[in-house]
Amino acid sequence: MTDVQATTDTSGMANVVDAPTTTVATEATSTGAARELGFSILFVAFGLYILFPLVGVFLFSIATTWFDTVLPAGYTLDHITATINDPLFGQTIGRSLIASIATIVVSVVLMTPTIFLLHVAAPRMRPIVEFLCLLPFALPTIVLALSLIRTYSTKPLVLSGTPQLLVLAYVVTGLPFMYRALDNALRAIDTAVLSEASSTLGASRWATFQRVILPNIGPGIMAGALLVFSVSFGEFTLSSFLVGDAWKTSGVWTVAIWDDQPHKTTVMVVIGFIISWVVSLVILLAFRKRATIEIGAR
Amino acid sequence: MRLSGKALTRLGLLVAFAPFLIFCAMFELVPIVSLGIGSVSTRSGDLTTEYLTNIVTKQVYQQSILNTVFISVVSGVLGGIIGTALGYAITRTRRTGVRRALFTLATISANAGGISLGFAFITVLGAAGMITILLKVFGIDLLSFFSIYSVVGLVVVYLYFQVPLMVVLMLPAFGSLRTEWSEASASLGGDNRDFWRRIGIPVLLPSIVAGIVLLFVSSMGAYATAVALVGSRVNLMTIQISILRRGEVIFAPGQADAMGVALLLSVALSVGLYHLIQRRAQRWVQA
Repeated sequence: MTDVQATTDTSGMANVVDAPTTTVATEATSTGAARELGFSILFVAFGLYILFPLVGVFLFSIATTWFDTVLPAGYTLDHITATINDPLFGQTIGRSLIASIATIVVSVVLMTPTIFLLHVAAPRMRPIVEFLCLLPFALPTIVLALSLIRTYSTKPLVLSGTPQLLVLAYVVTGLPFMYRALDNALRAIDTAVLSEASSTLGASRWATFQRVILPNIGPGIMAGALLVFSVSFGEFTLSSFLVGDAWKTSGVWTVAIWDDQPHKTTVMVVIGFIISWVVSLVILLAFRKRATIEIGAR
Repeated sequence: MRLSGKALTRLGLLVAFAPFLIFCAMFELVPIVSLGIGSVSTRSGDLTTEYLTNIVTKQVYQQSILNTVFISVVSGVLGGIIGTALGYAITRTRRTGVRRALFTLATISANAGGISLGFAFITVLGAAGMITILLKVFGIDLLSFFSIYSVVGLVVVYLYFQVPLMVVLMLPAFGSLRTEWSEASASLGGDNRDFWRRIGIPVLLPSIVAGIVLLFVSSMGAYATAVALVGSRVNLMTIQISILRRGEVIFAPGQADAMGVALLLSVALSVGLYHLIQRRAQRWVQA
């Protein structure tokens, strides 16, 4: 269970980027040009494929009517204002925000000391911790939902239908991201050496954690938190199974209104895309750290 | 008997790890075990293997497995091939700006999926979708041979994250193809084809296969994307689970659990397989 998750280091990418192209030395320049042309065709096709659904859903969200023309018959901002003015908009977005932020808080509090100890005191625990943290990758979201319902809808502990269970489920799906982010951050600052220095100066392990380590791994925690946020905000599967209509989140609402108010759904989808793009870009560009790939939360 | 200092630290460590371990036990391990128990228990609590045998004997469940595996294999293999070609092109193009832009695009899209993706595709390939109508203008009736609300439609949609995911997975492998190898091959009289047949493909193959297995995993468990797109029009394992568990048509939680166990086993075994192959691939890929 060592590396279910694919991580790509952007700095590693830089090596790839700056490496000389491995064309066989004898290759003529004309084949080089033909190759670049082939690449270009591939790039354009890929770009269009990626962009088309985004353009389509955006146009639909601002279209007056659109069913038998290539482009909408007219444009309007009415759907956007109608969506924002819908009382369920604020309510469901609010709940999703609360759930995501609670997830981040629980994840950080639970994971940071654990991974810190892994680095300074108990490296032998690593295989167990790593296994438990990466397990969610081999656990389809719907299976997690099923097993949580099975466990927590009967005594002794009834949590089914509560936002608390939803948050705890989000913490589970966020484990791999938090683990990677914290582990990388702690490794980058040479935690073991720092801790030794700190304890030589008489600090306790807890004081070291609080005053030396925590201030230094802020960016790592932020990166992990953003990833956890992007997995939990707008999430559909867990919220529809664990809380459903009892505590409707934005993801559940977005699906529920599709049949009657498809334009509102597309406004929500556009918002969802904007959030996930911004989060991804921030992680990729601002943190210049590792881009983490999700598997299973689809 | 007095506790040695070492034993004390060990006890302290156990206490320090306790919150994490208790959390994982409560929300990972115990639920998985109770899912397993649920799959072999009747609603009155008796032991039964009916649910598990139903999966392989009842036509509707067989079909859901066939559809799920078909979509995952096809989108995995196609995504794997296209993603490998695209990843190669991205690492080898001479235009640095293009390379960085596409790398960013691939990384972001590899995380796409869920309800947003499903709805977005309806607006381009649905009955009144942008591309559907665009093709009609050119005299092509897309709907006569293709529907987004079908098994093939789901493959097209899943490729949206499968291809970029493969690109991201393959980048380290492409980075490991060393220039010296192609030079060595050329100086020994090999041409471009010899290089690929004898060096390139053999070195990359484990990474490609491992990547395809991971793509397979990523679409086996997909639920939100499919629900937004097809509702319950396509019979998938995940959709079958939701039908059985919600009980709008039929309420059979034990049967749902049994399907869940089947899905979990196939995904977990695939992840295990991924690790075996990945270990082989790592021989050439220096991280």
